[in-house]
Amino acid sequence: MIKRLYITVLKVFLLASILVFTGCSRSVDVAADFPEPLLEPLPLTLGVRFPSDLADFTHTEDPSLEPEWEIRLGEANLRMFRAVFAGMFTNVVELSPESAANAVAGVDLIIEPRLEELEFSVPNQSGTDQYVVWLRYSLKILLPDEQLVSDWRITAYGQKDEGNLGMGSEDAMKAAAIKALRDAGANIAIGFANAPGVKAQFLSEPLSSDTSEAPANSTDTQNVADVENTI
Amino acid sequence: MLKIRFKVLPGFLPAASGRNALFSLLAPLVLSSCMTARVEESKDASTGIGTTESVVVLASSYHTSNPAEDTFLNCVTAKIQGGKRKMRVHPSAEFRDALYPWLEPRTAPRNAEALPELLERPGVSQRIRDRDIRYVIWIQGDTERTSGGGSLSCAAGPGGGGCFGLAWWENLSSYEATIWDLDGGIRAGKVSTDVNGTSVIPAVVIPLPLIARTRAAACKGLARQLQTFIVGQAPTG
Repeated sequence: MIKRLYITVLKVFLLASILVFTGCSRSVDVAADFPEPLLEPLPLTLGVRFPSDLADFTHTEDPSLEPEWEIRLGEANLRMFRAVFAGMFTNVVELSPESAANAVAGVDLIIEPRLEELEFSVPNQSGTDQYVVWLRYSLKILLPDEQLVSDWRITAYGQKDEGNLGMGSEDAMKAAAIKALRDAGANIAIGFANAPGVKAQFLSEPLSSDTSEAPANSTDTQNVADVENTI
Repeated sequence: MLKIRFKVLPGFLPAASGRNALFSLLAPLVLSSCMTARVEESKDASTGIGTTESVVVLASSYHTSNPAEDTFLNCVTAKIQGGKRKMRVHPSAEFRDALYPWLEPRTAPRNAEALPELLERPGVSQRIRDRDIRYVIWIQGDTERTSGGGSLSCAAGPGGGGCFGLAWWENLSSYEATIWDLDGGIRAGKVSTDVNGTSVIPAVVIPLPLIARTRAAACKGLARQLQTFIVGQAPTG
């Protein structure tokens, strides 16, 4: 009789433990619409190639003394880049991850963005009331024949206060991530003309989709810059 | 022109109202307690707003200042749309989207001297005109706990429970609004408010929270002063 009671108590305890631990993990699905930038679009046809790891980007982290966080940013990444590029260029062609740009007539350049890193902090870690998200992107800028012009790295930052009584931590993290994505979009839209190699390759010469007309030094490794923009 | 106004506000607002005897006993304490508020105004240019014109309330950039909390912005936005000197307020998210990327924390003009440069960017002035927006109000500041003390302990058992002791803390809500006139491309002035208040929780079996709502008081004071700053004195009669 006592043994049966002991087993029942143990089962209840295990079930409660499972419920507590699964209830502790926090999951954020960042879905948002982004505006097109208010800019004079560059008279270029962009071929953009979204790698699958950008489209499916999920960050999972288990900070000390904190529940596990899972932040899904894939769909929001694509929406941000589509909106930003649509405002930056007169024409945008989306290339499949495997396809070559020279298969698409009229493409002047290719951009292949990647999200290299996501970091975050929560109020318990920072000692403030802010949820903070940092993003680091790499934008490979290529000629239509896939020759690398530059690997442009940008960082982005977003923060959001936890609100009244610290309720709704998932919402605050989501808002911080959206602000970071908007910051990335602003950084790209405003900084593109000054990105390494861009002026020389695309903005100072008559535009052409024919790669044979690219400047002779386009393959020079000195042109392959790797510059990180910091806030 | 700098105006400074001090005001003593009815301070402790009980978190839960009731007619119990304990509250009656503490009523004199409630009535005698207070928050202090200070409102300052600095005007650089004459103001005024048309009946169809709107204002936009935005948090300042976190790259250059301490932006106000969203709850505070929402409160100010709601308050300046009411009363005798009410103003039309354009939704801030829509305005930021319409001018993206020029009002993001990274790119927003750092001060009014950079405003003409923003207005000259392609499409910016047109989008502002389309929305008939006359003023942008940037708000920065926060509410901080400046001190606290006391001791409060609660216990519960099979026969019941209760609390005993006294805890208190002091909050300071300090906010500043900078007003830009988009018609002239200039800074129209600044309005700021500081509200100081002490919250107390005395407990003899039942705890009675007497909360000094400094942020709410700061919101009300700042909104009222913004209305006076932009619209002018309320029409009489």
